[in-house]
Formats: sequence, C-alpha cells, structure tokens
Amino acid sequence: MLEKEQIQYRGFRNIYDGQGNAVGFEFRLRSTYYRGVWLSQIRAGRVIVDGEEFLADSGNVTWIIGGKEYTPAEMAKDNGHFWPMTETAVIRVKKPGGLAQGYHDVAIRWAWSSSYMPPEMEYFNDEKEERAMMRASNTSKRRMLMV
Amino acid sequence: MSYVPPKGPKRGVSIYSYSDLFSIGLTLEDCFREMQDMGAHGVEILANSHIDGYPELTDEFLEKWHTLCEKYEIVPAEYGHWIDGRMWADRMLTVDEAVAYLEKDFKIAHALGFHCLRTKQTVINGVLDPVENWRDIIDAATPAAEKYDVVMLPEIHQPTILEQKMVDDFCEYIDKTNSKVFGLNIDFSVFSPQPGRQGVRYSKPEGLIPYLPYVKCCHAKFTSMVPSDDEYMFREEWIPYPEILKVLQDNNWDGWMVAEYEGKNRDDEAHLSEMLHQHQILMKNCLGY
Repeated sequence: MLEKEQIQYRGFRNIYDGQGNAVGFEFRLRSTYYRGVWLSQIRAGRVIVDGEEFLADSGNVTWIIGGKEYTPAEMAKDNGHFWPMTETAVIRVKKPGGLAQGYHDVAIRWAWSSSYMPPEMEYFNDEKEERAMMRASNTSKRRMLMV
Repeated sequence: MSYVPPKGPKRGVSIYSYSDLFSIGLTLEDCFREMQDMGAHGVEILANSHIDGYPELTDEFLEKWHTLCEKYEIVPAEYGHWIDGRMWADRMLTVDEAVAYLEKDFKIAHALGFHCLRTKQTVINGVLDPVENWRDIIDAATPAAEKYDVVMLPEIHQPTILEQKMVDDFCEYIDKTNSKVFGLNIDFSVFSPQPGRQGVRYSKPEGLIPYLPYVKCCHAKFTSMVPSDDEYMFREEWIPYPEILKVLQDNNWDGWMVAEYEGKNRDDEAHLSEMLHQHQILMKNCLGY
C-alpha cells in the first residue's frame, strides 16, 4: 500500500557509489491525480531540501518510473510511456555526501497537464509555491528523518 | 455473463468515486464487492486509472476482469478514456496521433466487454468548448470504432449545460452523419444549481427529453446527501434525482447511471461507503428497483 501523502516516507534514503560513498539521496513520490499520466504530461520542477534547490534541468535530478530513469527533459519529449497512479516515481537527486542523519524538509514542485480542462489551468511555474492546476498543488513537501 | 440487466435506467458505480482510496491500495475487488452489496451492477472504469499494465492489456488483467465480473455480477457499463491533446507542452496532438490513441482504447474496451466509452476531448477555453477539429478526429476514428463496436460519448458536465451550442453541435453531427459511434454522456451536474461551484446556470430535468435519443450513458453525479422524511429516505442536496429519474423512466430511456461521488472526504473509507449507500437507496427508491 501507499501512504496518503504525496512524498512517501518509505523509500527516503541516501544512495551510494561502489566504494560506499554517499552520492545523493532519493525518495518516492505518488500522484494524487485520479488517473495515471503519460510521462510527457508531467511538469517536473525543482526539488528543495532544507532550502537548498536542485533545479529540474540541472542534471542532478532524475525520475525513475517503471524501472527506467529519466531526466525531466526526457520525460517532456517522451511518447508512450505511462506512470500509473498506483505506482510511485523514485525521485533521485545527486548531492555529494548525501543527507546527514536527522530531520530534513523535503519538497518537490511538479504538476501535470489535463487536456479536458481549460488551458489556463495548466499554467505551471516552479519558481514559487503556488496552486498550479485543479486539484494539484505544485509543491509536495514532507519532513522526514534520515537514518 | 451470468447477470442479465433489465431494460430501463439502471444503477451502477464509477470506480472514479473510489479514486482517493484506489490510488493507495483499495482493489477493484473491494469496489466490486460493495457494488454487489448495493445491487449496483454496472461499472465504469477509467482506463488510465484502473487497468493494471495500461496502456497494454495483459492476459492477467483480462482474466482477473472476467473472473471478478462473473463473481460479483458486474456488467461493463462505461469505459472512461481521454484524448490528451496537450500531451506535449509545445504542440498539439495531430488527428492521426489522436486516432492511434483512440484505437488502442477501443481495442481494450472491446476486450473487456464495454460498448459505451466516455471520451474526453481536448478543450480550448473556460466553457469547455472542444478543439475546433473535433469532427475530423471523430470522422477519422469512426472505422475503428465500428470495428470494435464502441460508441464515443463526450461528457456534458458543468459549467456546460444542455442548452448550449456545443451540445447541439454534437447532436447535429450525429444526425448529419447518422453516426452509430458517437453520442452523449450526461453528467447530472448539469441539473445542479449548487452555488459557488462552477457557476449557477443549470438545466431542468424536462430539458433532457429532446436529447434522450443521443444519450447512451449517464454520470449519476452527487456531492452531498441529506436525510429525507419521505419515501426516498435520502435526497441529493442540490440535484433533483426523483425528477431526473422520472424523465428517464417515463421516456423509456435504457442505459446505465454510474454513480460519481464528488463530495467531501473521499479518502475516508467509512464516509465514502455511507455516501455511496445513501445515494443508491435514493436511486433505488426513485426507480422502484
């Protein structure tokens, strides 16, 4: 089962290279939209941890969906891959040393397109926290403990 | 299929009502079980939400689907799907691309036993007008729709009401082409005077009569149930169910009304079940079955 929050506690961890050095962290994100979406419908924005920003096009943020890893730019151009609403995306962020033990405020800004709604509802800007589209907040956040 | 539905307006449920729970682990079988409890035999699923493995149709899901329909006496009523015209941020889906996506859905819907499809078109403005070339898309998808024996139904939903040019345009297209693969889905929100939601224009139940030949399925929308001392036991706070269902019955309309709960606390299991049960009692008391 999944947690009601968009950012899942289960799956929040540092990631390591072959020598055991922490090279970043990852967490799982679920969609609260009532339908799954084509990857190109995802409007992926920045990840923010304790105020530090990891921009979508920085090369440091990838989304893993269906076992495949995509940059936000690759998802925007994708044709035919799908993100089911019952599955999570793993958001992976490169950060040398990873995150320290203790509490972290983790946030990601993102949204989706819905073509059956008025086009103005698809406005998305990840520079600040705001409502993006019907039933979607552009910011998902959660305070979680890193072990 | 073991369960044979009667003629006339019939009670069903859209799995959309369960969205907030389905996405965190409620199963199709959980939903079907409750539908059988309530004698709501028709189901609407949303392709992009409720089919494991979508956009592919796996043998495992096909088998599960038929097994569950048989076990819980569920009949495929409507298959919800979308033309995602703004799938890409920088350009619109072409007619050919739209038809390719539609055909994929027709094939899956047919294999699962659906005839009615609630086909969401791409809209271009705040009053939900469809893309200007919607006729080209429907024309181009018609041979495939005929092949798979499906009918595409745009959903008429607030802020659109029945007395709107878009609805007449759809009917005119059907008359002109004599199309058997295009019709209407009426969402009962069109009868709702609920203020502050999406405007206060609304249709009267009698307004439905001239459109009934085009209506193949209805969304029995509800947002708020209230107790009632009369024979109905419950009422929808805003939508005149007894009057709407009387119009459907008196005019010998035959089809499914799938329940769509769009009220508060949809992620609260107990509340959701209570709302679904109250709403089915209301419809049952209106219909007499």
